[in-house]
Amino acid sequence: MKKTIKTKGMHCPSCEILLREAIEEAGINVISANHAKNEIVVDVKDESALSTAKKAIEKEGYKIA
Amino acid sequence: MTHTLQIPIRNVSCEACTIVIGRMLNKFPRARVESISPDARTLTITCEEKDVSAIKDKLREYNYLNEERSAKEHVWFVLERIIGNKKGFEGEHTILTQTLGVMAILVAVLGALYYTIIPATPYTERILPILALVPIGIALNAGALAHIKQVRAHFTCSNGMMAGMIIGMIAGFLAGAIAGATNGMFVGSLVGMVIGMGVSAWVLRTNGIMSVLEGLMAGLMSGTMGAMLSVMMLLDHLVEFLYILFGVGALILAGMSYFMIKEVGPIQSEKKVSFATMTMVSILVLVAIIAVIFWGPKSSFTLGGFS
Repeated sequence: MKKTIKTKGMHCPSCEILLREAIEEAGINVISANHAKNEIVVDVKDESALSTAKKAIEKEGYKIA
Repeated sequence: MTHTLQIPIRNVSCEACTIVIGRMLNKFPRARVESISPDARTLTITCEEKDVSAIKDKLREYNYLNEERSAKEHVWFVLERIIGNKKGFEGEHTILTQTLGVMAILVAVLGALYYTIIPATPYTERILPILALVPIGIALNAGALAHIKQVRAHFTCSNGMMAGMIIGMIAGFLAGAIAGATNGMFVGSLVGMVIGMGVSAWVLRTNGIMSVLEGLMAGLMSGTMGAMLSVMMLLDHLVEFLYILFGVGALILAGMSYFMIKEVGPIQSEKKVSFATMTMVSILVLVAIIAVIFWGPKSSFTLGGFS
């Protein structure tokens, strides 16, 4: 299922790359990352995968809005 | 054997950029960052000779590689990558092939309409030379709109305003010119305005009221001007001029796509426009315009004749 994660702290395309790679390394498919909207759209199977994606974001020093 | 080299870079402005470059280099054995200087716009790395090309490709993919190209060289660079379906430009390549596909289908639909329901009258014979422009114009605008839809999330306010005004102006102008030539100034202006204003407003709907008003003005002016131009040229090489007009319009739409690539980069959106959607919407617009041309009200002074 497609889920949108609202983040805090993304300000340039590098942040998008950074978070995209971090989430994908955690095994979650990223559909899009948009620093202008401060959001990442992921394709997850359940809430546990969503939580994994959020943890990967926080591990990179960004916050979940 | 490793060696150290300096690579010109751009768009490196923060810690995240530095981390991305560092991690990217980590994927190459024996490659490492020696220094990154955002001010001097240089990246100094040590790596194996065989990896240099792959590292530059990766930097290019992330839009960090500062390739000093003239404006003309950059246009050809982008064009070559789109036509060749090269990495990073697959979205634009898809739009290009979809646009050509839609154009072919619209020509086939027009042909089917011509041999079935379009009345075989002297009026039809006289306007036949410009009928071919209708599917071409619709397909070009459909392609441009599909491109806008897939990059609009990354637009700044001024990017959006520029794209919205260009597409609204071209769509309104071309539609107004065709309907003006076949139906006269009144119907031509209405068709041009509806299409120009509608397209602009759709593109600019999320850009704020100022942009929407700019778009509506662009549609209003282009729609009426397209019809006016056709009516004024009825006795002066109108058919030839419409072909030139559509050619110039196509070049401007291509220029708009290049402008969007230059401003916001290649398409990365998940909002793909399906070929089926593009085709169905285009067929509906074609049928509506054909209906207006053949069954809509006409003035006494059109390309189809005078009464």
